[in-house]
Amino acid sequence: MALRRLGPSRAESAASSAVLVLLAAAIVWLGAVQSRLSPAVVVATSPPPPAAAPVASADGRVFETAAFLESLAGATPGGPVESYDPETLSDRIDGKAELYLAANFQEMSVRGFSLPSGAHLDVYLYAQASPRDAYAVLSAQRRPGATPSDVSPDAYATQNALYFNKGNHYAELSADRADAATLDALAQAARDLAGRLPAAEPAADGAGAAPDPKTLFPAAGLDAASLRLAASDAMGLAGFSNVYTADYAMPSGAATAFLAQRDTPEAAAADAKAFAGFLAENGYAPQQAQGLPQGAVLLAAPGSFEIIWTSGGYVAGVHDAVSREAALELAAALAAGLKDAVK
Amino acid sequence: MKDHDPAPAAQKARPEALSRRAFLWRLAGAGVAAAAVGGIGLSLRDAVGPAAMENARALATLGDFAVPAPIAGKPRLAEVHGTDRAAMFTAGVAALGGMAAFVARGDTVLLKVNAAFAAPAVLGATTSPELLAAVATACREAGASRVLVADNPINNPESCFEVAGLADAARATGARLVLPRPALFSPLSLPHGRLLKDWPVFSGAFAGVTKVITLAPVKDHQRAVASMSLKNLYGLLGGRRNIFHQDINGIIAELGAMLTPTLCVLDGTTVMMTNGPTGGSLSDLRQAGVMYLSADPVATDALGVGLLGKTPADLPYLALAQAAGVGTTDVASLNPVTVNTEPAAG
Repeated sequence: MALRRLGPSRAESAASSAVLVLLAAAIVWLGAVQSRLSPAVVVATSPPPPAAAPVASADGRVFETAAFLESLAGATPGGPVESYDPETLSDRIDGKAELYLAANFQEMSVRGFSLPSGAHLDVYLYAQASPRDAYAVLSAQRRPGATPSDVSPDAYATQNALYFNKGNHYAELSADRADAATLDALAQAARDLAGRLPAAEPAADGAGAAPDPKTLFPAAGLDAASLRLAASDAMGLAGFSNVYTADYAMPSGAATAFLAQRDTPEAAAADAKAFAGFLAENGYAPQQAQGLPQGAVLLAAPGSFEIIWTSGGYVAGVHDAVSREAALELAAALAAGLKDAVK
Repeated sequence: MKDHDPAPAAQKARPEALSRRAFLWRLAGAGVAAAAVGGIGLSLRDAVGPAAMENARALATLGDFAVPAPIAGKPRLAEVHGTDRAAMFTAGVAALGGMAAFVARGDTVLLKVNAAFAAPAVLGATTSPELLAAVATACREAGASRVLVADNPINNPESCFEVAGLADAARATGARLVLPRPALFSPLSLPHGRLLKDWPVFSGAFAGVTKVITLAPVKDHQRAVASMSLKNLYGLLGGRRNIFHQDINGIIAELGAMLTPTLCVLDGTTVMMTNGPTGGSLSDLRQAGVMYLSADPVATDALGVGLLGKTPADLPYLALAQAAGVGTTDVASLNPVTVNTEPAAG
């Protein structure tokens, strides 16, 4: 009897090899296809990009404010410095950006710190175009009932925060608690930061040769905490920019004084005329009065009195006085102070 | 006699001699198996892939998640006074018919919070974690199968949810955060919309969602005057949405038309009175001790603006939203009910 052949034939071997090659090819093909993920999958599985720009932006800009937040006395950094320019500021502070942008915002850096008390501290450092712009954003946000701080002349503190301006910088230091140890550490950090910020250059914005307008408000009846600089659209008039306002409690009632400095008397007169026209469009009518400052007009609506005039390059006035007497009293006091300034 | 035949010995050494027929059967079987596996893989392959956003069909809305209105005469708005947000929410919902009136067994509930900023909860710039925890728990107790928490914050999403305490609140109550990713945004064109045209919205957060509850704080807002229930929906927009600040009233009114929520909870327990929407100082806050609950975001906002010392007329977007049919500023028409959760409250 013939022996049965035990091994596969040559054809069987070839067929087996072909099947194995096909399987291997299928595996390679599947691997290659699967390695090319859909862009949607790549995006979906990628970590979200950081919301903040790094210290240098995509266009290579270096944020000078970031360097000031590298360290703070008595505070431990809790994360990276994040910086924003006018294009990205609203990514960080949403609608609040409008306030800064209206006052010639340049850039902002922010960093979180921890304090020895265990509190978390956020420090925001804004750079505006000029010291006047920095004061505008500080004064526009002044908290009622805040206490003055010695960090800078216009600095103030609340239960958990401290705000100050120096030069063209405005800083906010906000902690998440209000205990004494936290406030002490917060003030220490603020002093350190203020000490490293550059002071304003004399007459840097062209306004330094004349008295600072906010020093020209009469002292009697003044609510010092109400002093504001409206960077734009003061008192509702579009384009009425860089106007200081201050609230008064006059013997005859409440009133607000305003003062704006312009480059020329003609520019001041044009703004005064525009504001008077704006009031007339909104229902105010001229009234005659004795004792008005030279060249002033008095406009009145039920329960509201306005006085507007110019003195040299200043636009001055009284806004929304509750009585005619209060308007006249405040106008006289403001005019007396201005007389000395424009000599 | 011992068998010395070599052939049987060799056959014993190889356990099985494979015949040609058996080999061919096995080969065929292996081939079929390989083809089946390959076929399954091929059937799962998406040769086209997801459409790019610009080619995708734009959504018309994010959905209508309203529940049937209660029978006539029953309250459709609750004003709750107190200091404990959980108790206030519970009392408010009870006054509107109970949680079962809004969430059914098996629902997937999306809680739209305001997590816009990486700010501690104590500063009042974001939805209160206590309120989020209370609402998420109530949804669970009402039988919701899933509770999702979403927002597209201004700042880094993880930081915002963590720093504001909302991530902890979600974790503690078994709710799941849905953080924004580009893949979760789809274009939306609001029918008759003027601003929301082919604009990316956070639609991915709504996958499988059957109910939506908005949780918003009452805040001063530099641009919009006030940020409340309607403005809270701004956090569902993607893209460079700050361009809408140029027409803030128009966009807020359109946001109301973009989504019909099941319930709006407007939290005025603590109100940011000044320097909003970011705040930063405790002195920006006032303890008002009020919460409004209604399916109508226009009505909650019409009341909430009073906590800021303003009137509905100060918010032009309320009139626009009402004209668009989003809701009503005629709060009395909703048969409002007032509840005090504490004897001295209110």
